[in-house]
Amino acid sequence: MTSKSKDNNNSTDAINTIKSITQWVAIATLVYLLISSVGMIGAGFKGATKGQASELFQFATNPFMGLIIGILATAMIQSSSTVTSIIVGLVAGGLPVEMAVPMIMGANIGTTITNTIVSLGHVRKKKEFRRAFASATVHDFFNVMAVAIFLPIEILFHPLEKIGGYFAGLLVGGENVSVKGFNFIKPATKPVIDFFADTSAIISENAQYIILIIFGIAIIFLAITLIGKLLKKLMVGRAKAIMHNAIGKGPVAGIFSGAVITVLVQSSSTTTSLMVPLAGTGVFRLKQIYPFTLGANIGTTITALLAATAISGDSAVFALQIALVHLIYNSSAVLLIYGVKNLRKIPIRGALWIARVATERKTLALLYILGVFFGLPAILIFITNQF
Amino acid sequence: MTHEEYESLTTKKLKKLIKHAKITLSELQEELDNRKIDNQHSEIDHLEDHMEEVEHGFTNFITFLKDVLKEKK
Repeated sequence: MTSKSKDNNNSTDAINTIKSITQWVAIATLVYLLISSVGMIGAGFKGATKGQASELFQFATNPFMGLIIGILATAMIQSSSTVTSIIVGLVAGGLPVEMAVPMIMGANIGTTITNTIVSLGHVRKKKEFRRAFASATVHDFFNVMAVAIFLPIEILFHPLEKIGGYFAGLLVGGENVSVKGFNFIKPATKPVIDFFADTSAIISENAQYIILIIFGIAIIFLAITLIGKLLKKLMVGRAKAIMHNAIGKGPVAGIFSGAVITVLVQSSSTTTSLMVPLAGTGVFRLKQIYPFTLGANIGTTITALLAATAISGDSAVFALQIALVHLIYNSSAVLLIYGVKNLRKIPIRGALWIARVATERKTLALLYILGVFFGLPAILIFITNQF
Repeated sequence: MTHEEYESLTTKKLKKLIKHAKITLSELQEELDNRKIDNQHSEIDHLEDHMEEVEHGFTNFITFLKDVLKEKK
């Protein structure tokens, strides 16, 4: 190697290192903003409702309405992490956990629209489309099935709320402490929250808390989108290594790698959408994609847990409780549905069936998407309004 | 080999042929599995390309809608 090419290599390495450091600093800043914005929503919601949050959300006392809110909000902004973080903020601001649980379940269904839309890109190649659509809709079937099993149980006995509450109680300390050992969060996020609270008050004194909530939601959305984009670039190598390692090792390795990659890229939609082209080519079978998708469901719960660390004081326990409910719910659904052989097969059969039908008549694919993500919520709203 | 030719074989020869066929079958299966795994590794090596594909969600949806309209006509 000549000294000139050596110098070139060294300068390229240096540029890459600086680039990488800059990206990591940006991620750290965005995570800080994300945590701060959850605090902003909590503070704004508390201020806006003056402790009467449950009255404001009276319409969501019906769990189906909560479910619908979760589905629609997530389907529209295509990010369950954003919605669950907002829910954590709302719970910190006084929204009862009982009302928030169906919303979290709805977010799980709403998020599956992203990979379904990705699968539509294969529409011009019949076989490819059938495989891609099946790999996307297996996630829909699984999440709808999980809600069908767990929501009625939750309405009757509140097991998720109780278990989440128990563990949150163990983890959260007393006044002015967020999560045990992490009591630095409040003083660290205070300057940002105060800045936006003051700005909101300057804009309008009457609507300052509403403006603070809007600021919080906008920052969460922006932070999560940018974190996802940056992590996708930074983590692609690591994701490849994890996937290479999981090949031929069975479903548990698939679930585990799906969860780890989702934690790394902070987005279940990214992980599940990545599986769609892999399935479309026919190189990966639906049976292999399925556990990976379930892992994404578990991995995505990390964002709400991260968001919960933003909350301190009396409401910290509830914020952590709802974040833990998300983790417990998604893990239990995987254990139950994937663990029981007969239940495990249902999402696969459903996905293969809808993919076969949709390949023959594309209008049905469109009707399916509109039906699951918008029609079903509309029907539920209609039915619940009747009682 | 035809059925008549099989009938002319001794039992010992037949057993030997079955044994060989089983070994060949398992080797072929192994080769097929290895190829599948190699293909999967190679597909993962192109993960960046797949990530780019995933970015075009809205374009994909428009293409799909065009196809649906075409099907309707």
